[in-house]
Amino acid sequence: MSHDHHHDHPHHHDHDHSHGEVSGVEGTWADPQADDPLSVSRRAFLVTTAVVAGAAAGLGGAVSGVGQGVAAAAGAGTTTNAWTGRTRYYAGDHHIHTKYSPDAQYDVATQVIKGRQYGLDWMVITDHGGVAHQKLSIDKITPEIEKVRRQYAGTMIYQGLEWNIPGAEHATVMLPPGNATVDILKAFEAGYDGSALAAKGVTGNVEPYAIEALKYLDNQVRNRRTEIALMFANHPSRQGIDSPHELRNWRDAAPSVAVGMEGAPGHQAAGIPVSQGGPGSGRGYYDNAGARADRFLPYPPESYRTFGGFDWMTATLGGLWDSLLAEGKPWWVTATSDSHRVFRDTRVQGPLDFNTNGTKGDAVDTGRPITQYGDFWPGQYSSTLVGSDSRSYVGIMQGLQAGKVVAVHGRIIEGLDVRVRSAKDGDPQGATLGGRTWVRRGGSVTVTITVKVAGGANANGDVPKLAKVDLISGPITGEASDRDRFTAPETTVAKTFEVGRGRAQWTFEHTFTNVERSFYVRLRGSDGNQLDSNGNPLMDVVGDANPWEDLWFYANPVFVDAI
Amino acid sequence: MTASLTAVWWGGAPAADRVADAHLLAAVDEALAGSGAAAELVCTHVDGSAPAPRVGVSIRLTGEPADPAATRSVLARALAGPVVAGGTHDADVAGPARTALVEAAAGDAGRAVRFPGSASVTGRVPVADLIAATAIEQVVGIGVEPAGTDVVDTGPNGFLRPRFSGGRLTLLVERAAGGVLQPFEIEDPHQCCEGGGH
Ligand SMILES: [Zn+2]
Ligand SMILES: [Zn+2]
Repeated sequence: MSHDHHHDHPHHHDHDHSHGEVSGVEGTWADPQADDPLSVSRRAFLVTTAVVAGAAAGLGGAVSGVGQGVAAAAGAGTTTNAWTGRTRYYAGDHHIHTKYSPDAQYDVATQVIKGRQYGLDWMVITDHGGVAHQKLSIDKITPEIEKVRRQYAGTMIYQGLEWNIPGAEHATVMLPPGNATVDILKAFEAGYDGSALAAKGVTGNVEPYAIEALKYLDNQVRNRRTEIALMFANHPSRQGIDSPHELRNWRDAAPSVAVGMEGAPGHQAAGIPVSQGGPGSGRGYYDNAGARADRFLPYPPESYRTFGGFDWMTATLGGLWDSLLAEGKPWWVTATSDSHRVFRDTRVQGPLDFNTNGTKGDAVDTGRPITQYGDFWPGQYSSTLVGSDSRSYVGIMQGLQAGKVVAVHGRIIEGLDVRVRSAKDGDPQGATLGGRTWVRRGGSVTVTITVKVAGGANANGDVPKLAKVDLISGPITGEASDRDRFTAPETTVAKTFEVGRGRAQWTFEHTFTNVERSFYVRLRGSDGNQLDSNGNPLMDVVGDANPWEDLWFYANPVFVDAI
Repeated sequence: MTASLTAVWWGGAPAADRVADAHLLAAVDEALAGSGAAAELVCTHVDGSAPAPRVGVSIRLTGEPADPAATRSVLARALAGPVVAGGTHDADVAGPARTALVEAAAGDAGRAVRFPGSASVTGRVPVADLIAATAIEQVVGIGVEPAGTDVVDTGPNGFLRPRFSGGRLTLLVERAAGGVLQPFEIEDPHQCCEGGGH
């Protein structure tokens, strides 16, 4: 995992301009213009405007986002994702396979119809990258996606890719529909997919190719070939090959592209026990013991298992995810289906040779439910709720990029409104998920949580009961000097709220007083069925983990700067 | 486990970055057949000394083969990589073979594919019996504290891959369906993207 690799791979993209190697300064997160060379002057201009506007408004003019007049503006911090109370959330799934993956089998239309049936507003088609996929599958799936988009105009169907990250796991790459979308995906896959590189005989330390790949996507945005491009690391702990420094390097190489990871992997039905008619594997197919020579050796054995269905990086209190958040930088978590072949579906893969056709062909119905399949349909079990101001392709992606995101299993919640603010000592408007707000040192910060519980049955026919919500907080300790750090020992559960029965919506509040250090807060909630003595999720038992009996949600953080 | 002072150790560096356990054992046994010695402990190791990590193999023999050099070269051909004897201070010894020998000598890492007693185990076995009947020195639970009477389901083939840790051959176990324990490493974990493009 060293970095002495010699760069001699072909460049498939126009690359004749500066990369703008400005390392992140202020606003390294949630600000798409943070490393744009233009942004420094632009930022200065905005600050001037704010002061003038504040002066004009007078001391009492608490204009949202501007501050409270001249004095406040001079010492104010930064607010992003300002709370409005009106944010709408859209349910979706950024990890869905079709018959254009060698190990999956459904039409695009089948996946989209199922996703809509299970309440999804947006879906990303992410077939596996590879030589045959790049050469053959993309051209075949593109018209299929376009047709289904026209048929189901109310649903946003993104064309994406499940990228084999060079030197690491898989990742969702997603783009909004646009003139260059298919060209970008093809060039990206040809140049940077791990299997395409392997086919060209590229060996050794390939980590630098992943960095180059993310910068390539970032450049497509800068060159206005696409409005936005995003990457999420998929099933990050499954084989122990996404090392902490790789996650940090991806994030820092392209902070507006590499924005997060699956907090919970797909394949959740895989954990249903054989005694209950299921596949009897591990949730997420997390059932190995770390077999790969290129795994990150310091990861402990339990990192190869899920906890309450969530990946170890996310589910561990004070674990890897918290160590990233403690840097004060964004890294968001999601929940997806990774739907390939669905538990109890009756179809099997088509008969074609994938390598020569780019597809196995249409699935063939056997007429009997197949209980070895470990996946759910899109939206059947997992959903990623995204806050957006507009029901549009770019709007949803901006919500994902900004971290207005909640990962939900089994309809354990239907909605969540989070407001973090300092009414008296800082930013009175406050920020919501993925955002940043501020408080003067010594002041108080109040977190207000309104959670909408399930108003009906989930796809298993149960009306899930949210039992508790944990408010988790940890100090922001700055850039990690050890890029392979994966603990944040100061992150703790600040408060647990018990949720009662008989109401559609619950509001909880907690105030942090005498705040001296910058910190972040995040939320998780559970049906309370499977908790350890500290209220943390239990490690899922391989062969005995019915996902419907252990439901959680995880909400993304809000950062609070103490200034 | 404490090996006798006269133990004969070999280290190997297979060419492939992933060697199936069965192929490894077959290669070792074929090379040693008729040599007068057998492999009683075979471990795989991860060598991270180069940018791309590689697998190394350590082998403890029951004694010195009649013609050690010839037997080593047969094994080297089977593994498509060098095989060296323990105690060799040859600067040319390949990284994975050296790492395997160093880790095996210290007992601080290495995954045992074969170990004394491993062939006799199948099905459900109490923890205490595993420790008594095999070279496994301790059974450590992940998320569970195994008692001597707890039962480990090793499956129909008696699949066990204990690892060296702190000088002791340690079997990691976790809870399984039906109130028993199972080895943390199972014989047939899910293979992702089978038939995939890589
Ligand atoms: Zn994947
Ligand atoms: Zn996938």
